[in-house]
Amino acid sequence: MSDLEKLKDEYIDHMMNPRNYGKIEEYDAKGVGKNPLNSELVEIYLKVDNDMIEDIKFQAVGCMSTVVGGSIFTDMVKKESLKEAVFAAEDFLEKLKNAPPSERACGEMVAKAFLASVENLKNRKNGMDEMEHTLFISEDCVTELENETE
Amino acid sequence: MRPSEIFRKKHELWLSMLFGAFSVDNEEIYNILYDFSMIEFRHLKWFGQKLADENIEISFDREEMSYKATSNFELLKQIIANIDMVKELYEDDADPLFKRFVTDENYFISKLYNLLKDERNDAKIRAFDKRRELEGFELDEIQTDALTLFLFEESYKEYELIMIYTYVNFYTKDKELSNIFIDLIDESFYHLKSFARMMAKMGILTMPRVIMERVYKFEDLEKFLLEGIEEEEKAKIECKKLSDAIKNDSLSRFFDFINYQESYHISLMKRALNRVRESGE
Repeated sequence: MSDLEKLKDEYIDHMMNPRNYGKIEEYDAKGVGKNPLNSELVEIYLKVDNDMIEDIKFQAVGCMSTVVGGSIFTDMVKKESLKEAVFAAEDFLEKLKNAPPSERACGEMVAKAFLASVENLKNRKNGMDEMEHTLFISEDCVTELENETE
Repeated sequence: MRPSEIFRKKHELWLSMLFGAFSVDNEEIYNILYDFSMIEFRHLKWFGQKLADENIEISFDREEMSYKATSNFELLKQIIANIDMVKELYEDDADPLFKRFVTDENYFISKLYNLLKDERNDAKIRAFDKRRELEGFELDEIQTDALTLFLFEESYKEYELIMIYTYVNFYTKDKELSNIFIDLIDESFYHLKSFARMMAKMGILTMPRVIMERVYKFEDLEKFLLEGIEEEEKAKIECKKLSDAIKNDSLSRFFDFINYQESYHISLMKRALNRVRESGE
């Protein structure tokens, strides 16, 4: 199997078995990454112990790219320190700048949802009564096809 | 166990039977499991209505009840075990609804045990092996990728629509609206069945992910329908794009057929929209 085939196989596997999909009932923080132009969004739930991510789950209203992005990202940061996970999210956003628009919007929604959950955690620690924190994405999920049909 | 927990288990059981059915090649076993799963869906609908009438909160949150097996017999045993487990949860034997659940499920179990008696009913299940080949069709890599993505997106979408319209129907008082939603549910079942069986044939069968509460617990039905019409328009474009990309007469005809059905869904949704505006639901 070539590297590309392996990558594709892994991608299909994330579509068939998204990791960490769902919600944590007793969460420490909840973040939402939202597309302001439609109903697409990602929710991320965190369970944190001593600044380590003990558990992380996500849910999405969006396309498969969003689900795969959430699956890969949450898998990557689970059991990591918050600091490393924030770095990973920021790095993820940086790398997305070179991606096609639709991929960019889906990936951004996942990263923003995570950064929003970290913001929610901080606000809760500071005594704010905030159920969830929301960050909006800056990229629109315009597919090539929609561009073509305009 | 709380009624809302029983509802959750019935939802899980229905899906495990439905997707178990989709995974099987043998037409006779498929038909039996599919029919039983549709009866389970009716149970879920009746039970949901009862909960809604009693002002008990309904949620479509769920865990995944096992539905992946390597052989028909393993699947049948799994389904029997799942039914047995859920049957234990019914508490009120005097309730006609629970009585119906029990008599139906006792019959399901006896029928499934009968299938297990004949070794010829056993066969390997290949619905999850990720081979991504559709027997009888020559698809190149780009076509296969396009079809794969389409099937994942749309199978989830159809499940989502079935659940949304079912939920909305629990609270709809208007008969005309209710009839439109029932039509849309029936249509989505056919699409879900078609897409999921194709996924099974390609070895990528997957149970749709859990629907987020905010997707079906909405305040504004008019806004939901307006957005839904827009989404159906997009689905039509995707379907047309796929039909053009596939370049296979039989598959293209199938996707064109689905596409024309989507056009009618849009007109049904527009009728529902007008009705909502008239009735103020």
